[in-house]
Amino acid sequence: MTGGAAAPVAPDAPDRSRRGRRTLALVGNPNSGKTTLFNALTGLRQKVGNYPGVTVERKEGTLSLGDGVSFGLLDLPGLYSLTPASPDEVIARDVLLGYRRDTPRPDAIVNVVDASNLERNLFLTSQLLDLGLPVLVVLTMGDTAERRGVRVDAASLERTLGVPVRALANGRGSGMEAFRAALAALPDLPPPPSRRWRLPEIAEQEAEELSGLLQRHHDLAPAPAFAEAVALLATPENRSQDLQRWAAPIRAHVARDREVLHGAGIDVPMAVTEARYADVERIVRGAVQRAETPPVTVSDRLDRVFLHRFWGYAIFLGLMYVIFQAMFSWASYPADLISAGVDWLGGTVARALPDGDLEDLIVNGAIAGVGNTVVFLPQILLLFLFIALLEDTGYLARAAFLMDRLMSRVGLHGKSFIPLLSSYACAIPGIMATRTIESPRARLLTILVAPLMSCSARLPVYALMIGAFIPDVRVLGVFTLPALTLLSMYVLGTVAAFGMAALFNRTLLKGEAPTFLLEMPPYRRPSFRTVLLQMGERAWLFLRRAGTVILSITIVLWFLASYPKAPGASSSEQVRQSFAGRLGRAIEPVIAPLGFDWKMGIGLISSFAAREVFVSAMGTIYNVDEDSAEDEEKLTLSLGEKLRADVNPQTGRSTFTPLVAVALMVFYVLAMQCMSTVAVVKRETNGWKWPLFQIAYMTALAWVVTFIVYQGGRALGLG
Amino acid sequence: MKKEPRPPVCALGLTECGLDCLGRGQKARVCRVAGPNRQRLMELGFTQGTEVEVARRAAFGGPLEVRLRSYRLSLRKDEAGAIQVEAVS
Repeated sequence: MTGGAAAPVAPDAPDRSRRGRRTLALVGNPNSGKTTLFNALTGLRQKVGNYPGVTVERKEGTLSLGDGVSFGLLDLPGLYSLTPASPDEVIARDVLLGYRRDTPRPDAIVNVVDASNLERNLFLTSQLLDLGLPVLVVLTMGDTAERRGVRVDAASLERTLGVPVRALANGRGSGMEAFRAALAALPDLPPPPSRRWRLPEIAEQEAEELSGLLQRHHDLAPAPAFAEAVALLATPENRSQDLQRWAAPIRAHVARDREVLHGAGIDVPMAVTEARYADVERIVRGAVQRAETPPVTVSDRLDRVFLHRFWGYAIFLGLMYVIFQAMFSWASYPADLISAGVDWLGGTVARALPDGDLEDLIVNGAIAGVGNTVVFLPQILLLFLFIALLEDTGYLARAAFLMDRLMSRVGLHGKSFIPLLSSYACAIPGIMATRTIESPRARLLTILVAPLMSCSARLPVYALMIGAFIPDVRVLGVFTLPALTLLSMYVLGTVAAFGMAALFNRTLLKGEAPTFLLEMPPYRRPSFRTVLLQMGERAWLFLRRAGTVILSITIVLWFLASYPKAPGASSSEQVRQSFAGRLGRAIEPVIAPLGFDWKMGIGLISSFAAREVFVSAMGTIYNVDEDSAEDEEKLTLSLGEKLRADVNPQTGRSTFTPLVAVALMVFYVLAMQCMSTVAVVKRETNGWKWPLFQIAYMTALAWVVTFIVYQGGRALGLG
Repeated sequence: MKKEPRPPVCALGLTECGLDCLGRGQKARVCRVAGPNRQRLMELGFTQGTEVEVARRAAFGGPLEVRLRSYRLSLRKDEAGAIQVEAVS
């Protein structure tokens, strides 16, 4: 029975090919040029989504090969190995073994192999060859390999691997015709020849027995069954949840095998890995010619500067400044245009429709609500332009290398830096950008604290409060009090983000091992197409998903602020009578210790649509004639005067004092008052658990800190 | 079942230490890997006898950049410390 699983396998489930179109899976290491190849093969005919239940991206495209031949092309996440260690790898393995109900098992595998990094790439190939599916190997990055003095002989690789091997230059141009022809023939090829590596004899026998049980109990074909048997034997005991899907005799067999192998002194994960690498080394020796002395590459020279202990950081900070500046100021031009467009649309629709509730709902609910969201689009596009460029050139890995020490102190990752930095502009693109962080734990931590970074939507609130209540006096000769106040809000947000990260790292996420393990790819010229596609994908995801949630919530908020109607009342009286006004008065006892009254309560509630709504909500409550203050500056000015003049009828003292203004700003720094962020966090963490936790902890934090600031200030006689 | 002949590695236990003990430009051979990322590190190529070189160390005790199997990987000091190596003169 030995060798049974390694013998050629009849293609399993022959009816699969007749059922709909056939699918090829694109598999390869991260940085192997897989995405570029996928884009080159499918163009714009891509469908991007998530695998149900996890945040692993699912990309599928159509591959037209002429003569009416057309396949589906499934782009699996970039992988180093099929050992299920990360969510990406679990998905990739389950798809390739045909375990997922939402994705039929692919008919063949297209394995992208980086010729400049052959050994580690062929390690994955060695695993793929064991799955019993036809495999086509594509060699990319041949030019990078040549620059390093490495020549890979594709014909020799083809002979030793026993599967077709095609070389491509940069995923386009030469070699493409031969590659497309090989793709067209691929699903009809036999599976790869028998396995070339061997386990120690006892382990080999146990794996065979286990493979037999898997075939009997679960109807697996011999090749996937043997691959699964090896994986089960190599699975660490603390991952026993992986065993639950298998029948009882199999679980018992695995438990017994572990004892036997342990007793024989065989470490299965090590034995499997070393056997594969030993085989890969043999293959590489036969197929690769190396220069006597490896030349110093451009990448090496660039890294002497970019990773320099002084210049590296100087260049990094300069680049970050450009990104920050772009998101903060360049994005405001298109954002203003979008705002103006939305206002114009609202005005036009308002004139076209008869006055009434429907008009109000469409103009002030739907159009204004969607407008508040679409305004973030330029920032998202710009950030993803930069991130795609940084990632595609290979610089992102360098930035992570430089920043990791600082970030790891609080459990974050070197790659957390850019998402957090962009959260100063807006947390939404920041949170979407956490997808570049491979460590799930560091990614979640980054998402949890990103909204504490003071975003640009808080600026209108700061501007209103500082303009009205912070006296313009000089401090220490060079600083002004308003500027210092503004700066301290940014410092507060940053300190809070790092402090909470440290806290969560030691409590909530304790026990999960932090990992860094970052590959340093060679520098490459970015692909224009990849950059554009990535920007487009992110923009579309944002508009579609966040847009639908935000639209519905804005309509709810509009309803709360507009009903019940108080006929004949002034607009401020109408707001007071509305559900929102009642809610504001209902929460007054909770916010009174912070120095806030019910009117500010309405402001806080309506800020949940977007923080800057606070200003217009206050404008409505204080009955500022918006027609006389058509631009925001005038509105802020006249509103500031009204706020200063407002007197509490019970105490006869001012409602707003400089201390209340500071307390309010502190609350805005720390509280989660952003619908769009909640929607994006829900999407990126795949459920309501984390966004709800985030709302809870940030609200509690905001309340406690504001309480300390306000009550402390009063105790010091600042009230 | 025939094994490739390998140079004897880590047999004498003379100059063994964690990978993080190496300075910039120093070369070593892998003896064994421990720690929570053991499996992943082995799959990335840190198998017994593999030659590794510390290419660079980040400032302030940050990550190390290591060359192995003709590619470059950076890892944190504690991750590197889980890889026992034998210095190559």
